[in-house]
Amino acid sequence: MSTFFLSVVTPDGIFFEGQVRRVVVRTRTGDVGIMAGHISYVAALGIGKLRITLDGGVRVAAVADGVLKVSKEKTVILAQTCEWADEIDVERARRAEEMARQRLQTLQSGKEFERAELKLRRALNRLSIAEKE
Amino acid sequence: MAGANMKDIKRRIKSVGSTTQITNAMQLVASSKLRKAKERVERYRPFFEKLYQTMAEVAQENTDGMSVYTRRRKIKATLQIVIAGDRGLAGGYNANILKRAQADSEGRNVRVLAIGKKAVEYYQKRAYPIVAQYQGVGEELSISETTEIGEKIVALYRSGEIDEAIVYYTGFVSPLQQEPSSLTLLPLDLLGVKPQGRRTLTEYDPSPQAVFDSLVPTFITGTVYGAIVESFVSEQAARRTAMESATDNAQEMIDGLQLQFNRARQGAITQELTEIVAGAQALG
Repeated sequence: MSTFFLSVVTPDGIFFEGQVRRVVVRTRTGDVGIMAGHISYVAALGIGKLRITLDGGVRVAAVADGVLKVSKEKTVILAQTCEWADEIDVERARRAEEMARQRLQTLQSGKEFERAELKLRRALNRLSIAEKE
Repeated sequence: MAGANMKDIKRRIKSVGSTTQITNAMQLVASSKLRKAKERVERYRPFFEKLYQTMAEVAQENTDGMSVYTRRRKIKATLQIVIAGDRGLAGGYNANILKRAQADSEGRNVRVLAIGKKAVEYYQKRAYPIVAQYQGVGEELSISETTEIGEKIVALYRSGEIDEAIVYYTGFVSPLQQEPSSLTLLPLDLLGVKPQGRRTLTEYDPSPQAVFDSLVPTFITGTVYGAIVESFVSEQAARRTAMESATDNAQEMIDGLQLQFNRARQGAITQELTEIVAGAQALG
């Protein structure tokens, strides 16, 4: 099976770089799978899972916000946050979940509510990925 | 009389000496933090460059410029995001950036988002409208904490409470030179940037417009993160320089005092000798 070059970059540095067979990532409109030879494609990332299929197996990470950019030479994922499933700080995610839930109860609507909701979604995403993998 | 004077000088030498130990220790701490902070800036750079490039490319697709983030509107309220340190004793670091932001706020209807304890204290004392404040973020800052700041800025802009957002940070030029700088975050100005390479036919999901708009919060967050990281490097560099010169000055002072002390001691001995000789002569 043919491979292509993927690089995943976050503000904390280069997260992953190498030849991969397939990558599946959550965009704003749903999960998108990329394989070698894909046309040029740009999409904004949502909050969800990043699955990288390598020759040796599959690696899974939690990803939130950023952009997926596919070009002929390589595929780049710029993610605001990205963590491998086994490196997720579960304690911290639990605390974030707790806090966001509390905030959602006191707030009724509006911008603050939306932000708390986003926070909750990020925390739940981390927790579900950490538990499943 | 001379004895009392000598005691005073001795005490001062001791006190200046212990100050030197503190400034010297602070200098060492700042040096090691500076090294770590510089590495963080290096790690951050590729992300920002790629993100900026992508934004510019997408912006090129949306030539109609109808995004809410790029459209210019009448400026009624300005948000100043001011990044200062949490601690003092860093030379002019805090004062310079606060002065810069202050000078820019003249004649504008300003709201402030204060980052760093020194900035928070400064604006609280002057009763500025503070929309949000963050303390103690510089050193252990993670991107998820900045997300909150970025989202706040975007939310204020979208709701029309602010018409522009400017971030004030200290740029790191070299370990000996840091420059208070400002950068306009919103409205975005990307049209001046030319994307590299040929334009290729690219599919945008769902549309260039939607991709652009959903990238803006990430871009703002990334820029604020970068500004905080860079300011932190500058703070450490400024502190190191300040502490280095404090240590040098203290050393000079100790040298001067030591000279005074030796003179006083010599004077006392001479006086005692004169007294003995005079006494012996009187006895005849």
